[in-house]
Amino acid sequence: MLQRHAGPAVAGSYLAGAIGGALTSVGVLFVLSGLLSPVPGSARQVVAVSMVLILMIHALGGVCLHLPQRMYQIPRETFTNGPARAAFRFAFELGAGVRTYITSVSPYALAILILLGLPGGLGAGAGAAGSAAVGYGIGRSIVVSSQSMRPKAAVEHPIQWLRAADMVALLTTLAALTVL
Amino acid sequence: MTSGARTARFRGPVASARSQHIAGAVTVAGLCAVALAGFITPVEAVVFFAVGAGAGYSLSGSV
Repeated sequence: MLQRHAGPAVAGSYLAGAIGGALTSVGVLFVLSGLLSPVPGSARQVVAVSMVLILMIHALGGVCLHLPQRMYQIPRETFTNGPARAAFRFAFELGAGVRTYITSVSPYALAILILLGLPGGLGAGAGAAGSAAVGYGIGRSIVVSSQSMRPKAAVEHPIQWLRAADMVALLTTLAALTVL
Repeated sequence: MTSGARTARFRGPVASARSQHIAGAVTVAGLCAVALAGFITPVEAVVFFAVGAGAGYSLSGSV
């Protein structure tokens, strides 16, 4: 789908789809976090920090976990529409993250943070969860968006920077769970 | 990645390795800045935004 340079319309559709998909998944996690609210905050914090530490060890290669994911590629039918609509559907699936591979660790940490580490209060919790979803969608779209601004040269983002971002997100999650 | 005429995902002449690293470094630096701002400012949602952006960007290799 992205073998041609994405124009602004396609990049915008991609961004909207990624944010929409992320909002959908985060909405489900937000509801689940509400169901977990009777659990004492200290217990939730201990469990969340432990899980994120395990994820960090996994990310650093200390252990090899089989993290839950659907090991399928997004189906071809997604691309049968026009470019902008196909970009939206494709990015929605990527943003939702439940029908395709998850190739890094920090999305799991984000899910833990939303499930167990949202700030108290409905408004603050919903705002934080919504911000996480919007951030996820924007982050997922950075490569496509930046590519749409460079029509003459193809710019990939090297894998080491993607891994660095993974670690930054993990460390930020850990700090958020312990400091906030 | 930069030795061929095309990347796997985008057609056209490939940008130099330096540009690609600059693009990645600027993005990660921006993520760090947003995360730090989230801890400095009283708005907790900024930290959640930073975590979300980092998690989303880390998956960008499989666009």
